[in-house]
Formats: sequence, structure tokens, C-alpha cells
Amino acid sequence: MEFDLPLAWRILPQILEGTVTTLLMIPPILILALAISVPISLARLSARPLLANAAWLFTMFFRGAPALILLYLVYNGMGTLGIVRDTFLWRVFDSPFNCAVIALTFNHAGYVTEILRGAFRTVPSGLHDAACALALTRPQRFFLVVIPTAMRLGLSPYMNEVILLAKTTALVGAITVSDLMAVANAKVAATFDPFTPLVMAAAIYWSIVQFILFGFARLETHLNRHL
Amino acid sequence: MGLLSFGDLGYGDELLAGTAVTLWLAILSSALALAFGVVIGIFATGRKLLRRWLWRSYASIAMGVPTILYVFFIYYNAPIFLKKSFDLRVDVSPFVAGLTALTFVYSAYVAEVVRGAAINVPRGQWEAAQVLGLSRFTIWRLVILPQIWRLSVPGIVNVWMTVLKDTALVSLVGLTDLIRMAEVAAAVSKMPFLFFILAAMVFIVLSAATMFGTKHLEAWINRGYARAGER
Repeated sequence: MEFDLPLAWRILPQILEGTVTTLLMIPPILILALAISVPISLARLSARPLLANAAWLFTMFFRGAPALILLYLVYNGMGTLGIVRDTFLWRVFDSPFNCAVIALTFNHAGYVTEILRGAFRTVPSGLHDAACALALTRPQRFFLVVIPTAMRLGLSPYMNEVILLAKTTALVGAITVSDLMAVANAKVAATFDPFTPLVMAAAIYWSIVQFILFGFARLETHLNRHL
Repeated sequence: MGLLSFGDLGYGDELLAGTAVTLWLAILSSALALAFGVVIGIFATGRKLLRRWLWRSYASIAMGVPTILYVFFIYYNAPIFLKKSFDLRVDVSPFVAGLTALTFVYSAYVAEVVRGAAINVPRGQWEAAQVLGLSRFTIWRLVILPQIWRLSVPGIVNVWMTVLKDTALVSLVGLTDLIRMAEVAAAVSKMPFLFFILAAMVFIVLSAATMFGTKHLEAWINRGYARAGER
């Protein structure tokens, strides 16, 4: 059990390839999840019971179920549906990478919805009144007043979710995506060294998380620059 | 619904046994994480530089790496480590590897909750307690903990819910928990939706039960306190 430097050097290219897969997975999930969460969080705050309850059910399911089940559900489940197998959808669900992105998007969106809901609710009502007094239209109020304020309020919990997502991507090996964790595990099996590849993977995951922390710290100073 | 019946023909009993394993692992890990987390949280609240540095390094390592990596790491390395260091020949079961990994990771989260609550206790109380000549241990026991345990409940319940969901990944090293059972049943019966959604529902019902219980627990522990905004 010691760090084998020559071995580490030898497996570094494959480990980095796995890292690239992990990193490629994160941006589409972040973007898709935000696109889903904004309307659903607004539905959650809606006065119409049907809309609000449907949105509540969405968050309840995707926050309550472990990410691993969602991965299995998309990867093993979608292919059994005729409508998926026989249409263009099969091109999407045929790739484990796409399945992983879809499953983790919904998982992440469940959490982001709750954060957005909290952020929208904590926008001070005075701001809203002031915007009305300035005769801003509804979309103007939403895009110029509510969204920028909610962004600052929700930034810190959102960062925690992004970090959680980065760590959750380590599970996609379970549905045969060759991400960083999966490559490290394969190297453990191939080299009979259970220490070196896993320590390398841990160091890379740690660096990714530190990078996210750093990025959000910069973003926070930027968003709060006039406060 | 024959597939879900109990006995040789259905998966009902297997799924139930898997749920028991999942719950048992979640309860044990949470209990251990709570015990270690409170101790570490108390340790981490100190103002000495070395302590803070130790806490920061531990928290960063525990929170900055996926839990599954720790599960794999312990599962592969613990037997070698025990053999080399103590000359013990033991098999580390998936359950023990998962328990160790979850405890290591979530103790940090519990400690963070405890620390966060403790540093919000007004400075004057610490100083007053010190002036009275109370020892560090007594200050915690009589002044700090009685005030902060109430405030820590929501954070600790959060940790429990995360641990519950994170037990799922121990199935990747071969623990025959709910997920593994659902996977086997789904593969054999070729009905993935039925079994995976059922497994998901078990987790959701457990979280919902926790939320319901927490609401009552919080109402009860805060019964003597009025919050701003509530009348």
C-alpha cells in the first residue's frame, strides 16, 4: 500500500481520458437541469393546486430516489419501451453517456428546483412593490428584478448542489460509462494495485471540487460587487 | 402481481430483506456519524491554529471526494492494510466497507452542523463560562450543547436522508441491499420499470416518513420557543 509513481505515470493517459468524460458530462447536466428547474420551481409557487402539486411530486420523486436507481431506470428501463426502441429516441438512449446525462439531469433538477423555489420566495416583497411602482411589466419584473436577486440569494446552496453533482457523476460507471471512477477501478483490476489508481482519482475529484468552490467564490464577488 | 409475492416464485421477500439491509446500514452509519461528528465538531470549534487546520483538511478530504471512491478504496485496501499493520487476516465485507466509508464521510457533515451552531453562540457566553472557571468539557456540557442541539436537528436530519440514499452505492461492491435485489429482479423478470420504481418508492416513502416525523419532532423540541414571524 504505497503510491507507485512509475505506475501512476504509466496509467495517467487513461486516467485523464476518464477525467475528460467526467468533465464533459457536467456542463450539459447543469444547463439542462436549470432549463427544467426554472419553470418547475415557478409551478411549485403557482396558486393553481394542480400545477403546484405536480411540481411537488416531481421534486419529491427525483430528490427522494437515489441517483443510482435513476441511472438504472433510464439505462435499463427506457430500452424496453417500444416507443423508444422503434423511433429516433433510440439514438439518444442507445448511448450510456446520454442515459447518464439524462438521469443525473433529473436528479440534479429535483434539488435545483427546491433551491430556486427558496430563492424566489426570499426575494423581498418590497422589491416587487417598487418594481410595480416603476410600472415595470410582468416579464420585466421577473427578468430584471426577481431573477438577479434570486441568483444572489440562491448561489451558495446552488454551489453545494453542483459539488454534489460532480461527486454523483462517479456512479455512472454502474451503467458502463468510462468515467474517471470507472477507469480507476479498471486499473485496479488490471494492475493489482488497489492504492495508486484510486488515490489518483481521489486527487482529481478533489481538484474538481476545489475548482468549483473557487469559481463560485469569484462569481459571488462579481454578483455582489455593488452591495 | 405474482412477481411481488413472497416465497420462491416472487421477489417480495428478497426485496424486503434488501430493504432491511439498506435500513440497517443507514441507521448504523448515521448513528456512528452522529457520535463521531459531535466529537469532531467540538474539536473543530476550538480557536487553536493546528485544530482549525486539522479540521479543514479532514473536512476538505471527506467532502471533496465521492463517497463511492471511499467505498471502493476501503473495500480493496482495508484487508491489505490490516494484514500489513496488525498481521490480521480478515475479510472486509461490503457491509463493513460501506459502513466505514459512510461514517468517515458523514461525520464531517455532522461536525459541520455542530460547529456551525456552536460558533453562533454569542461570544459573551463563552467568556462568561470561562470567567466562572468552568473547564472546556463543562462549558460544552452545561452551556453550549443544551442550546445548540435544538438548532442542529434539521441539519442532522438532512445528513440522515443523504446517508439513506448513499447506502445505495454500496451495492456496487456487492452488498445485497434493496438496490441489488431490485437489479437482479429487474434483470431476471425483464421488468425494469416495476422493480426500479418500486425500489425508488421505498426510498421516497422512507424520506417522506422522516420529513413527517421531523416536523413533529421540531414542533415538540421548539415548543418553548417562539420564532420571529410566528404570531
